[in-house]
Amino acid sequence: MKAAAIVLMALIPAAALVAQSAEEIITRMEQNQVHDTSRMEGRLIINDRFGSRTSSFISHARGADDALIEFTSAGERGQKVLRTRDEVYLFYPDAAELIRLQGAALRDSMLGSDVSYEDMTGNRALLDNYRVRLTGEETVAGRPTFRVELEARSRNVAYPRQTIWVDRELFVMRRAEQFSANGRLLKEVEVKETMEVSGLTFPARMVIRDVLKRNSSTEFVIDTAEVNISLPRNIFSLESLRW
Amino acid sequence: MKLSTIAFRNISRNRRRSLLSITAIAVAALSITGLFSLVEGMRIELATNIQSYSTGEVRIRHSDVDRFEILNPVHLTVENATEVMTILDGVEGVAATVPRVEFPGAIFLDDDTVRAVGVGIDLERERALHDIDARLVSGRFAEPGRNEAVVGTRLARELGLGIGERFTILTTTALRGSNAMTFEIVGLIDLPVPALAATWFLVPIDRAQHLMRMSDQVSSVLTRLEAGSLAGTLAGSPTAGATAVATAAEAALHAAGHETLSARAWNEISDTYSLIETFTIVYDIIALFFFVLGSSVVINTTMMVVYERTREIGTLSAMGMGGGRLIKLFFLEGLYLSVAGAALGVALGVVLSLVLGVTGINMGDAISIEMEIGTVIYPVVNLRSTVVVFLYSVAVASIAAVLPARKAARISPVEALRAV
Repeated sequence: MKAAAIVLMALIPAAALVAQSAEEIITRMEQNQVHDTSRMEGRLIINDRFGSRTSSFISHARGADDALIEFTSAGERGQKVLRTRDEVYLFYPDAAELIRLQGAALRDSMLGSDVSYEDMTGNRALLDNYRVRLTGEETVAGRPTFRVELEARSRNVAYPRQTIWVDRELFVMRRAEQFSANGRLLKEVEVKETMEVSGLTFPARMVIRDVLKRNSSTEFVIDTAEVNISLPRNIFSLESLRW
Repeated sequence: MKLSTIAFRNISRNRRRSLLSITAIAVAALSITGLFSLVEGMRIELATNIQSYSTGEVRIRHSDVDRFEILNPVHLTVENATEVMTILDGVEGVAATVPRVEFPGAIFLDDDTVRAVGVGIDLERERALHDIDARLVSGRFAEPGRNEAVVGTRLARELGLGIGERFTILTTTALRGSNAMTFEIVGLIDLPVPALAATWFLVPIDRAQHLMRMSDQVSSVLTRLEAGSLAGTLAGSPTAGATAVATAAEAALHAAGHETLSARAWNEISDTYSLIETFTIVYDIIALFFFVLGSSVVINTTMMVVYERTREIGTLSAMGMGGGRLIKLFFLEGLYLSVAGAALGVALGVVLSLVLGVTGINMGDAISIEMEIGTVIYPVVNLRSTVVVFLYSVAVASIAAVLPARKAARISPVEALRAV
């Protein structure tokens, strides 16, 4: 009995340490992936049963909440998506009004890709929205990773449960699986390449699969990135959408 | 004395009972005439709506659209639409070609999202297909080159918008991206099909093509056929002409290198129309049951007559009237009753159908919004089916009279004369 108590006493701090480590892992990953400010140019390569097509974009972001994406490819030139803390707005040059997305519309596919508006534009502050738990270590694509389970603190997130595999050395996401509240797999994310800019490492090429769509995947590629730069004032305002 | 005279005299011997028989047959004939007129009205309205709004008499579009319909394949278009319409104009039997650009999308309101379908039309060509001007209930049609829309009355109500107000629709483009455009409502249109009135708005085809990132492309080309004013097609064979033209049109398009396109006759496209055709067979069976029920009164009347007139039958037999002539006598009595009943019932059914054909019958929720049919049905008297109903009711009721008559013919004269 005494021996059992000693083992129990020994396990409690170890469990606490593991829980703390999961938060640390996510924090370090977000330090890499969520930037004070950034400007990126990239492409969405959308593959479905009808073939492949590419949409290019320029994105500006500030922290986890604010993002502005402007599409530059011929089919969508001038279209913009603005994400502020709580809202998503769409600007189309042919429309006289901004479109404010809310509720279920946020989960609509962007440009027919496997990425929803919510995925693309944000709310990346994971620790604000999820309880995290380290559940093991695994090798993903030849890289050692931590496996971290995330459980939503509220219903106000796109994916109530997630599993993220974080590179043990670079603290960058290598793989993610996103689930519904009842445990149904909704999306898979695989990081194929990473990029290092100003000492920060983040995904540069990811393949996202909406498993509810058949024969569909979207490659998200960042070609160039600048981080922690000065951005124009009011760039994340509704006025900026009409520039 | 002639058998026909005896039969007529026998009918008038018990007028109340004869009247009951006539009434039973008349009610059956009236019901079936009314039912057939209603079904005919539904069939014609359905065919007219399908041809006017959905498919034309022959519809040309990308052959893979049907296969991927559930995925909203707006990128599967009719390319080089101008050339395609020129080819179709040269196909024998094609009177007019009507291009359409359809774009389902979402209209975002303050707290709600309304799903709608924009239809880009060429107004002049559209007039060749149906009387679109008669459907405009207020305002005017949208002008080419302007972001204007004519909105279905029910859709306008759902949006809470009227003439002079604007809405923005977000849709998928032919490049499989997305685009949005703002339209000003300049008119309201009352489309007869509830599903269309609740979702459709019409815009100039050039603006629809711009929104959809289409060049010389359309979603489909509808055609109206020469022989076929709609009424003409419906009066003759509603299917054969359209199918033949569809085959010729597809061959002409493929020969010109448009091998991705398919042409289909309207009746092959609509599931609802096939359903109505199936229902028609079911209604024929229902009609048979009605007549059997009506005829049971005739059988009953004739049987009672046979029992009541057993002595008379015996006397006639003793005087040399054979079994065949006895059967003929009772058959004639049944025939006169059924002719009178059927004539009365069909006449009342025709009059009722003609009146309802003007006033209409509001079917309300009985008509599914998914059906390509309005909630008010206008019965149409079909001469052929009316004649068939008359002959059918006379035949069934007369044959029904023969059954007890055969029993009467088998009674021996001695036995019959002994009866009280």
